[in-house]
Amino acid sequence: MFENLMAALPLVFTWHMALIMLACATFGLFVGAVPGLSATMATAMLVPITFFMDPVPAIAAIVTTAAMAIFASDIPAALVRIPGTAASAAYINDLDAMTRQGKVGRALGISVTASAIGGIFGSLVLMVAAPQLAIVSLNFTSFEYFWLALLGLSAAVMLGSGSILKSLMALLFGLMIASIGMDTTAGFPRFTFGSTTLLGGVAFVPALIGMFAIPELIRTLVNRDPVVPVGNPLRMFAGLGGLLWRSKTNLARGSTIGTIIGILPGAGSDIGSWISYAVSKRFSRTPEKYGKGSETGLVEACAANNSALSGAYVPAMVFGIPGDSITAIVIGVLYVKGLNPGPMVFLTSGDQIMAIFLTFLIANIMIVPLGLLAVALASQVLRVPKLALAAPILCFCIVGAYSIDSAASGVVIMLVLGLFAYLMEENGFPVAPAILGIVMGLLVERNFVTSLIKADSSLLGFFERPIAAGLAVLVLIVWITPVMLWLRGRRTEVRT
Amino acid sequence: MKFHDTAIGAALVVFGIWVTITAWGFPKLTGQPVGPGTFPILLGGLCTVGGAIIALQGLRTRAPIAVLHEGWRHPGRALAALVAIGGACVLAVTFETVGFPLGGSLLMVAIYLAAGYRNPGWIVFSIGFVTTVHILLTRFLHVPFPSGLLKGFL
Amino acid sequence: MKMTRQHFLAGLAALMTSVALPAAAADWPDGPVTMIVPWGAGGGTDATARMIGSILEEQIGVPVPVQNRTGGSGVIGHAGIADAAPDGQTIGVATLEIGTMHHLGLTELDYTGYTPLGLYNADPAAIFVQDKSDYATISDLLTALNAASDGEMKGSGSAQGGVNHLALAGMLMAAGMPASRVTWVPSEGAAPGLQDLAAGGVAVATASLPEAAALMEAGLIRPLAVFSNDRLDIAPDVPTFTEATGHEFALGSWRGLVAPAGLDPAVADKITAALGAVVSDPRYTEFMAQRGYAMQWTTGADFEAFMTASDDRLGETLKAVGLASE
Repeated sequence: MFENLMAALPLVFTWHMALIMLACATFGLFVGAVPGLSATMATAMLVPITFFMDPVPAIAAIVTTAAMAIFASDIPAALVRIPGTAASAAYINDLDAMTRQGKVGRALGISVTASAIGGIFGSLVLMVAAPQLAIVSLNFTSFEYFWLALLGLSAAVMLGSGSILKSLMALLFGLMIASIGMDTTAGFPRFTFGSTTLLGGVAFVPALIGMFAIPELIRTLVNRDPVVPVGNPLRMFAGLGGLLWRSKTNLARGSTIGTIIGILPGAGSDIGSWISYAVSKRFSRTPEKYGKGSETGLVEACAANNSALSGAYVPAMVFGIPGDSITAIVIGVLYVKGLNPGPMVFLTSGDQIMAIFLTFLIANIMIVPLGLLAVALASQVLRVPKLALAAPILCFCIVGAYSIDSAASGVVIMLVLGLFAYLMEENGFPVAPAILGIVMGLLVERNFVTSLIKADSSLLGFFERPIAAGLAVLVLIVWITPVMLWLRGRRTEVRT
Repeated sequence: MKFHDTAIGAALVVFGIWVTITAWGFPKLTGQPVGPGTFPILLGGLCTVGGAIIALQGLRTRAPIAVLHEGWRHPGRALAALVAIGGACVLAVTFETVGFPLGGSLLMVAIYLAAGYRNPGWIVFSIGFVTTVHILLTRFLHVPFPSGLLKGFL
Repeated sequence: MKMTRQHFLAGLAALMTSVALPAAAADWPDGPVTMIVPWGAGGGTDATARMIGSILEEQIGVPVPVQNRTGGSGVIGHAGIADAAPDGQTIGVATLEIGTMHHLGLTELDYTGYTPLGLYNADPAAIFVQDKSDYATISDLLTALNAASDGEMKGSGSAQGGVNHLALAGMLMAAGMPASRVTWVPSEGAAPGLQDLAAGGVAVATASLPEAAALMEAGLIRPLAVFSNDRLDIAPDVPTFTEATGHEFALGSWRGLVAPAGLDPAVADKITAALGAVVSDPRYTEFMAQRGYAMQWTTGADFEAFMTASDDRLGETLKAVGLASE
């Protein structure tokens, strides 16, 4: 490994590479910071350009763009409550609450540094142990993925501040939205009402934008809450060192959980950041703060989010199995460059692979200075009264909802789900579980149905494999506590 | 708008039953007891049960059937929200014909007027903002945004 | 903006000069040529399309943007190509699924919706087991399958009715067993199916050899036989199903470039010629060889005849498996 590292250094530290990575970082920051434009979109646009590059710069370009875009999507999440990914929806309430408390600079400072640390941790793991860790991912079949997905969904239900029952109903709503369109096992059209646009299902990005931004927009226009003082967004790093040191356990735990879940191709950063946020709350001494501006929760979930992104490259590099749409694109480019994913590539082109991992590390380090710059520019919008921002925000929502498929149907989906989300929040149904339900609906269903087929429709099969049984026990534990509390509460209520 | 829990619960029960019945009619995979309907039936069933519990719990509270948030009683504010959402709907339907530069600018100007911003500067800002976004997206990111009626000018 | 205005002018010009057809051929390409891919970014079809697109761009001197129109088991993208204006400014990649989706009742569209340009790749499917499995040869596996009861063994590798499902079902029927002998576990493409095999979730999986290369290299799965008429250059040690068992059977996925039906033959010839130059470009051949994709270039009427034959055979298999909607 050490020789590979030495051989990799001259491949990475060149002016050519520095220029490419800087340009791609700027591009990624721009795309990520515009609400509605996604990291996947940014990477897909880079692919034709990478055809004319050497392998290491080509992958570096994609990785830098993706890392920056995903971090940068936390900026609109904090400033105007539009999350960029389902992963950032796990901690958007904390970002939003901190902004309302005038601590926007600190919130984004935590996001920048925790993301970078998580990403660096994940990259180091990649460099040291990718082939060995990839074997772990091969112990996961549909049974394990089913339980893991259920664990992520359960975390989302339990995290809500309101009634667990209402959170559960929100989750069910999201799962039902996800089942619209052709089903993944037989291609049968479900709940499409004869519409051809719905055959492909409800696009996720318009749903995400609509369900978070539209209710906020309506409340801005209708409620006209008194203006809250905006803190200095550039006070990002004051006292941050102390906080990070105090939450070193959270950093370590978030990064570890994120990396492990990221390594599993059927899971990824969405489940990773939700589970680690839930773990963080479970072991916190101040769980009541979660969702209302918890700094430790933010640290842990941001670290998990970015470390999961690095983890996703483990099965991609070793077995050619993509964990998400960005790694799928990277695998395609690797093939084009003759670096065919597989265990052999670590031996035959060890220096190039090491160089690629080094660029992961650099990309994550670059998040800190460039992120500061982006936050400084973007947070100027906070000087404008919220009411005057309503129109441009709605415009960005339309742009984002349209761009994902270049179809106006995305705008309609955004508006319909947005209005529905407004009603949900007015009535105490949280939106976040519904979003996670939409993202993971098909994944849960596919693993559920294929597991049923494999087990000849017997539920016992779900507990036969050791890892599956372990995960099942975890899910049961998560559910037993609140159900017991609820039952006890009812009993005392009946008695009085 | 806040509804009484019993009303919400009842709506969820009806919705859950509808999902279950619809999904019951989906074909099974060949030679399999499961199929495209299995998961929705499960969801519909859970939705019905959960809705029933919410409805029953709601019976114990004495809230009115529906309450509007105080802000909706101000005609100006309600109008602003209606203009924003209704206008966006109209824009979505006419997106390909009217195009983003014109439709987007009109929508923004309408929202500013309805929200009480009467300064003509906001009109200039709206047009400038939409045009900049449009040019950035179409020129640099190659998103095929429709120019619609302004096709010849941009 | 320039793009759309040119489009508009092109449309106008085409309208006015529609009597003088040869002139249209001389005008091609008139603005960017969009290439529609019915499958997701990063997959095999997408990678080949992007490679062809980037070389075609140099050849004809206009941008060739690749559009992934995914969803609906390929229906949306395939329909997107067929529904485009037949002016040569939109082409696309059709895959084997064009011969299955209408039998499955997902769409009315079949290969007659296209003007065939050229078939550039056909990869036979192969059957895989876990490396530590007891089956040393395909005959061992068939013996075990003969002794097993229906549904005792599970297989994976594609969606229900996908090419790898049909390969397995076709193999079983060729060996005189019912297609229901192995229960099909639908997966979202070959990669997750093969991973499930490696993880011990299913007993057998079918996929093309390039798709399985990484897991084979890792020593986790191994091929027993390939469903082709001759052994493959990339895996000369793997016997064909026919030579190993004596049962006649071959099936594989294919990818071809098509344009909407009704394209002026003169324009079609011009596009085909440009694509012909692309597929002989060393960068393309090197890339295809690198990924292990079999190369060929079958154009025009021959490609059409190939699609007709493929459609008939797939229809028969689907009917036998009980998936055809008729």
